[in-house]
Amino acid sequence: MAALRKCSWAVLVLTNLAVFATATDENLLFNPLKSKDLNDFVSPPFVRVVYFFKGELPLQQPDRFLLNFKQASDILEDYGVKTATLHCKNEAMNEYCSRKHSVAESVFIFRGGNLLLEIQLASMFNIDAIVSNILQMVMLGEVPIVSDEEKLQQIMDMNKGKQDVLYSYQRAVGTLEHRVFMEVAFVYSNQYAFALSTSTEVARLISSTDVRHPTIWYLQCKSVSPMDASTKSCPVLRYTGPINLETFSKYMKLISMPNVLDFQESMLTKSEFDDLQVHRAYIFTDAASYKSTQALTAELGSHFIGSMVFLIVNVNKLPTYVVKQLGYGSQVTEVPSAAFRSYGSNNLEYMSVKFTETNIRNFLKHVLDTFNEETMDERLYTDNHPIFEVPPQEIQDDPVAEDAYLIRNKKFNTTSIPALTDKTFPAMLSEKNLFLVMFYVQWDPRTQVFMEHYAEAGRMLEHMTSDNTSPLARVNCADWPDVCEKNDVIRYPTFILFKNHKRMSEYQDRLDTMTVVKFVSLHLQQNPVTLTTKAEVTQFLEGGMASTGMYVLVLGLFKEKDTEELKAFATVASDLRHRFMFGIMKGGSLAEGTAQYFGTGLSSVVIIKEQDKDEGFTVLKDDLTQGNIAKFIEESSLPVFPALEPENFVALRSLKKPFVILFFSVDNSKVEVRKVMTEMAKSRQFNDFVLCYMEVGMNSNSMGSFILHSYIDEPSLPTIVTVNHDNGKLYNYPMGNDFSKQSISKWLQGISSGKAGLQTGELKDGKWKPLLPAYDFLAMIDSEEAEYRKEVEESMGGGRIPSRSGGTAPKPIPMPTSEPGTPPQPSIHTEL
Amino acid sequence: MLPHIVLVLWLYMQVITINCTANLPALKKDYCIIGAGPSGLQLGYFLHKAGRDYLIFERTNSSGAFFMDYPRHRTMISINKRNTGKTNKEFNLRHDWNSLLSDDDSLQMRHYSHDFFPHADVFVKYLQDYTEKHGINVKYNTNIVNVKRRDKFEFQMQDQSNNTYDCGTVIVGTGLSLPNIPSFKGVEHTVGYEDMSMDKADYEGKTVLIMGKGNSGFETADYIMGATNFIHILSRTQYKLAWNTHYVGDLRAVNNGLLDTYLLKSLDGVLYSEVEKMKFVKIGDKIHITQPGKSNSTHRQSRRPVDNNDLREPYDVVIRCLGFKFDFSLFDKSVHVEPGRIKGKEKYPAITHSYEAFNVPGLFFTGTNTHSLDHKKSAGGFIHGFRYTARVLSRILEFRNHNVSWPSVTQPTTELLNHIVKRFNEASGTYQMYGVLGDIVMFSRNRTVYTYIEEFPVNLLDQLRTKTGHDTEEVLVIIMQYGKRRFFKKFTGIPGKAHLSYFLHPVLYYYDELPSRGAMRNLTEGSVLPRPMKVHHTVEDFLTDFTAPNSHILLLRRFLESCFQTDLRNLYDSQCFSMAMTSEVVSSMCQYNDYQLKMSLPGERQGS
Repeated sequence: MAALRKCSWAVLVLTNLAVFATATDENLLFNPLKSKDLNDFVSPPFVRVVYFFKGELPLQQPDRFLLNFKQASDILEDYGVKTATLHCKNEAMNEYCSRKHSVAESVFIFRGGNLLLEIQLASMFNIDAIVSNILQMVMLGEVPIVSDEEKLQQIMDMNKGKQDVLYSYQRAVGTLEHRVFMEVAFVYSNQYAFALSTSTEVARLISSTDVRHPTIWYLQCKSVSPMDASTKSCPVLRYTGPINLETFSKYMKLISMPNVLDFQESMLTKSEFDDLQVHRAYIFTDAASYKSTQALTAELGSHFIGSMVFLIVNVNKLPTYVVKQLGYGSQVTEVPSAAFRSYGSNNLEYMSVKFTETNIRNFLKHVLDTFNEETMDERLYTDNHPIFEVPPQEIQDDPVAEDAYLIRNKKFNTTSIPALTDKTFPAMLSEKNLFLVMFYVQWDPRTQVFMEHYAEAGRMLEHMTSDNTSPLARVNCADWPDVCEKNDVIRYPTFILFKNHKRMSEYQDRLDTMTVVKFVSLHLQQNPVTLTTKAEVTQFLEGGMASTGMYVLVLGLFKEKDTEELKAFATVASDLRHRFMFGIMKGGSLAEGTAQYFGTGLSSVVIIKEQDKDEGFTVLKDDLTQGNIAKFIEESSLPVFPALEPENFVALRSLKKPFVILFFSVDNSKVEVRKVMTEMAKSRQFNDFVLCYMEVGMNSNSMGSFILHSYIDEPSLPTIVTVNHDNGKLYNYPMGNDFSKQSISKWLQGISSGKAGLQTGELKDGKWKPLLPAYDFLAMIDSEEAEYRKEVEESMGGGRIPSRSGGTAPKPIPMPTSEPGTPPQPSIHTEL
Repeated sequence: MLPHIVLVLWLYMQVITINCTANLPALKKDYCIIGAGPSGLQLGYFLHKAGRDYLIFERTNSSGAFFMDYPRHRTMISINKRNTGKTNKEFNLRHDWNSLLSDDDSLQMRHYSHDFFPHADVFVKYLQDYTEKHGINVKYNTNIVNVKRRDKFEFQMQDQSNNTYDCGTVIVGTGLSLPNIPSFKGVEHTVGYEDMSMDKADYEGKTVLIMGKGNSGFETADYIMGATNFIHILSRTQYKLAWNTHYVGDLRAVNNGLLDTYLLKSLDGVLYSEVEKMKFVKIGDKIHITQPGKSNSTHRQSRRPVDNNDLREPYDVVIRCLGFKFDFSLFDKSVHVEPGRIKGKEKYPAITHSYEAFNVPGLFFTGTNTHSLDHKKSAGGFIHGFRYTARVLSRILEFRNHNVSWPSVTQPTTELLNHIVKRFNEASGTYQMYGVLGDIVMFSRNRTVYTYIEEFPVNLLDQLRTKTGHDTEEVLVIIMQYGKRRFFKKFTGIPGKAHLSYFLHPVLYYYDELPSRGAMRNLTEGSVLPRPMKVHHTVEDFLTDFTAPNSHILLLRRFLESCFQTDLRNLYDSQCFSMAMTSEVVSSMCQYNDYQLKMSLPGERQGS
């Protein structure tokens, strides 16, 4: 479990929230490629990236990866990388498409007609990850990933006297910082050598302090002459700016240019530095000391490279008005001397102490630090600030809060979710027949992350309302606590559906676009609907006004005289109308015909599940009581043999039955067992269990693989595990070669009846302790108190101050009598 | 015609009955509130809302009559901050020092005056509207005297016409109504703040001595300054500046004009001496001051005669501005209400932290006369403070007399963080009554749910159950506090040094069991609660916006986590899923069937 926690910790740092696109054309593939054009596309000697898409088009829901991939492609294009997506449907002959499932789990990278490599989707979870991973692959030679100190030493040795090296420690591949490093490396790889590692061990070779955050070092290996290569090491400069594209590429530009200039020369040509917003150090000298000052400045230049340029001001050579402007004669009375001007400032700061190398260094370091401190606020959140080390307690480790922070400035259209007030909320309540309100507090990270998707849902629902306005709204309870209180809102977010000017129900489901759309649209439509014509039946079966497959349909087929059954059905329908679409047919040939179509007769309830590929519909014929119908719907509306996923976990778990999970790999020849288990599920003979499956896939990082490995150390596929969440017991299927229905049934019966010897393990305890301790203010106060008391005792000549039981303030020391009129010392009030 | 006669007859009979009141049975009320000032009305409002049998007795013919006379110079010094840039009504009460608590938005002082310091007449109008709009029961022109015990459970009192009233519970909201006049020689040559002339012409070319360094003294000086030769302000000890002490009863900047003229050498001045040791002698029109044992003596060190005594020149006018005190004459001997015993608190009745008189069960106090509890500490003596303590009293009475537990909210512990952050950012009662009222979080045994009550007098923490009807052992107390000043004297805002915050900031005290009565009684000076198991300071914020994700919320989460030893991070559904599939127990945010998990956030398919 430690591994899981560690990883989720890492994930939060790396995660960027996927952007769900809105327009319908985004439900199609971009840069589409036909199979026949694949060879032409990949044959040039440049990097080409292809994703083989295996799903259906148009997309039912926005696909996170596709959206990220599209945006990443725009960026990658700048680096000469072209991308394409190939839709595998109707391309069965394509060698990649025919590789079955695994193809959709990877992105394929080609160069010069050859497949360089596949990158698993799992490591491409956001735009940064896609760009950095692909660039890393493109430049694996130019930017090697070094795994031990020896390798790094080799790289440095190799480059001594030749070129400088930029080496970076990265927390992981695929992060924003990694992307920045790769993008910059792409541009500068012809001038510098690059290397990176993800291990702090390697970084220790050049850093005396422990490295915790992504860091870049500038190793000046070029300055080491080949003669000294064996004895001298490359001077190390740590890059102290934030690792973002703008700042780091500016740094690269700066270190690539000479940073010691003669002021006179620099005046003649418009300096490139003007565009770079760089700090300037002015070194004043006269003709006599010019040579020695120049040599000293060169030294300083290499030390401060990347942070400032040095301009040598020869006061004898320059026109008087120029040197006067620089303060010569007023601020600077003797030479040599130094001054500093931070970018954006018109004022120079002058060094007031003797002109020695140490003094200048200290002076420049001081002014630089001061500048950094002043601009620190903006940079407080960059991990690698040179001065301000953020204590681990203050580093966010809540993945949702982390994402919320990353997207905090993101703009999106909120017109579909108007923010209501104490005036507009009652107005909307009296005007609108149906609307859903999200009551929230704006600092809640879940809400922050969800807000954009909520707006998206609003836009999707606009088209489903009679007046074409969004049926969604929101109330910020931090602005309008009175409105929230009147609606009994005490937790955030709370979603309340108002119908016919009254509170109708609460939405308590997944915070995702489509689930909200489904919930509201079910209320927007007439539900249940009585079907009397063939057209109505057709429309109902096609999913009403929403697209097919969005809802599970529940159709009640009754005889005219079935009043009891009808009543029961209607009650269930009104209870569950926010989850299912209900239809009622009463008697007549149309009802009979429809029943026949579903292989049943009148007085039946049919559940129609478009999305269940194993069982399109299922029928309840007997005992049509309210309880039975409700139970039937709860149990049978789920796919008969579902893939076990985060999305349906809560629904499946709420059945409160042990899970029987088939783990299989798509490449596995014994996938036959899937059919066996599907049949078993359909037979409904194993209703004590939830039969489901997880694909393990090629990727060892996949969810299925992770979970399976927690049950079995060295699993062979396929395999079956029964998990009983209620008592934590695990049962691995013992007969690896025999997946017949009889054997599985016997095994399950054994588990059911509590037969001994079947249990193979149990779920881990799982103690979810805090990741970090809190600040211990009590201890801080105690130690400060003790110190204070000591000071007072000393100042009072050893007189003891009585010790106190509480964490409280001792009496203030008697203050000297104030001068009349000066504010008196305050008495101490309520303090701990 | 007939009905008319009947009516006349009936009226006639009424007149007779009125004449015979002395013999009639007493009017009986569950609650008798004496005084229709702001606190009496505020308490009346809550009793009214609770549907209780109550009546407010008012001596004059108007609500808030004190404010018809005071402040004498007619400008309130309680701020009427009409705009804050926020719409949150609870938050805005943090900056509205005049309005009473009400669910009627029209009863906000900002609708009554545009002045930052409103005219006192406006406040009287406000209190009259407050009474009427809420239909609060007030019996005007009824001067209550002779409050006495009727029996073990009831009180009886009378008015000026000898009508008697039987009261289950008496609540005294008469404020501090008597001017404080110390005894010293020549007091007859002085006038009081309460009866001084308000005609500036009377001070034209006069030399004035004002006794008392409080707001009324300085307010008086400001008012007549333009007419006088000069003004001296005399007090026993040095004035204290409210902005410096955070105590609004100290000298407010709005009144300190005389400090300006004094220190800019414009003849005015402030001097220190004890009134009781002085003697005021009138010679002609002038009032001379002698200080026995000083004026005739010599400097001890030099043994030279004193010829430069500050008070050697006589004054034309001497004004006493020495404050007010509680009028104990209200009570019969059977109701023995004692004055406060601690120095400086003698002007208040001695009461418990439940606002009940010591040794007189059933007799309660409300408003400024309860200020002994937080004198020089918080705002309980002022409208913006006692409007909350009046609500507290109403809750105490509801439980004491009707067994109605304090209003509370019970929720899964996963909601606590948001709940606390919301209170940090808007709660006005704990903000105004800092260090006195605090929110209390109680926990079920397995900590899956918490119960939250607001604005509890933290000094009663050991009596939590008997005062509120809520039972708990483990408790979290959330109060607002100013920082200790000896470390930093300016705003800091460093989260890791939040305990050194200079400004008002939230502080959380965690107790795994309720402190004992002994611990509460033996509080050391300067502390509001006994030593807790753990404490957390949320760092002060320049904008008083405590929603910074890391500095405020993250560190608060870590504190809650450390109290409960559990991981309270929000997780995506895939993280919850992999946790649930591999462990028997999941972290609190992923609890099966919990609200948080039902409303799961899709994201991060990275299982591992």
